[in-house]
Amino acid sequence: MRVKNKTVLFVCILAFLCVLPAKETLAYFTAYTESAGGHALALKPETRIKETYKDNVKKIQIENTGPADCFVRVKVLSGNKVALSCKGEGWTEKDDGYWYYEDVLPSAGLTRVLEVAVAIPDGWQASSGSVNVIVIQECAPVCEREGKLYGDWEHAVRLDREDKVQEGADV
Amino acid sequence: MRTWMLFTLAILLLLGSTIRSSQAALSYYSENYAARLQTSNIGAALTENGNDTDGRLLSCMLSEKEKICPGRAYEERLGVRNTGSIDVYVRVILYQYWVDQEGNKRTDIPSDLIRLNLTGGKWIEDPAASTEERKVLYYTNILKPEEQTSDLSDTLTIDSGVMAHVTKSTRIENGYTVFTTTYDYDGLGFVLEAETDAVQTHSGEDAVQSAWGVAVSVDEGGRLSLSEEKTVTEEL
Repeated sequence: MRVKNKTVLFVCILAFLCVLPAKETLAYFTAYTESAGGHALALKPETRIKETYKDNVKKIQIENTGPADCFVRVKVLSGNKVALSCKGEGWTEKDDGYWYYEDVLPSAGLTRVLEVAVAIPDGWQASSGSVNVIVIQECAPVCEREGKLYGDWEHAVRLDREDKVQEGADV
Repeated sequence: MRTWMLFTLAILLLLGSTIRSSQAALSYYSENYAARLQTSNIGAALTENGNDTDGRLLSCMLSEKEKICPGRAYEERLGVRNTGSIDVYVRVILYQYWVDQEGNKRTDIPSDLIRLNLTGGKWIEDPAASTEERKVLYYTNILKPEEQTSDLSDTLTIDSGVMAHVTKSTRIENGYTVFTTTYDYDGLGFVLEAETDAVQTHSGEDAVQSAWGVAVSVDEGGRLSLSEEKTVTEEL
């Protein structure tokens, strides 16, 4: 019986020694690498109105003061008795009454001039000395759809200003 | 007595044979010969727009002052190159997520706003292992040394939906009425991470199972496909 126990022990040790090298064969050649990267979003456009008024003409420019490119549009309003007419290279009026600047306005960029001619009725100027002109300016982040750039006007940043414009005044 | 003599004789014989072997070793000089040893190595590199990434992704996506334009499809062709000396199977695990300005992960923002367009082809996705934030892709063909896979993706787009999350406010400032739209995602960063794995093709099924914990089938042509069986990780 004692001899039999020794034999069993010997067989067990032998089997264990056989399993050890067998485990080695389960190690396979493998390789692993990691890569990562990203960018921050700069969505909020920031702009500033630069304007002058002289000879009944208001000259408007928009400056991009934010870090991101944007689109801009401008609407100019006044009372019923004062007629306004706008023109400017690169500016286009659309049905909603806004004047759209055609190009993307880059960061730190300045639009070309939008001229607003203010037609003041005779005699009316003499009595009041000034006329209210409201400038609404909006800027929107630049988006792209199917290769075409557009401004997301639904979420635009808006800037309004109501001025009593006077001859020769820088506003 | 006879046993002792026999034992002593055996000891002497053993000692004698050892000494002779030593003498033989001392008197023997082998001829000079050269042997070339070649060791196999395994390696894989992730490529981005044709170049090895060296651990960095999206570094050439924008020019110096350029900002991300939502909706624009930026070129992002990812692939894998075999940099080792043996055939391999490869897989790529992609993670895409948002971080705040301090670099903390923002799990509350949908990661599918980061749209990496996968091309398919010889790349198959494991739907069981993929989530909105993670995609697990296997290249079905054997990748030979110095060979490059087909592109697994072609473009990366930040969905213009990032601008739909806004907070609006109004204030008077120096005679101006300012209507402010605050973009909730402004300043956040998006991150794309890729883990590239390679494993030997010899005993391919077992190697993949052991290394990646995934049950796969390999056909006679060496093409890899995901098995219907559940993966080891799922079972766990």
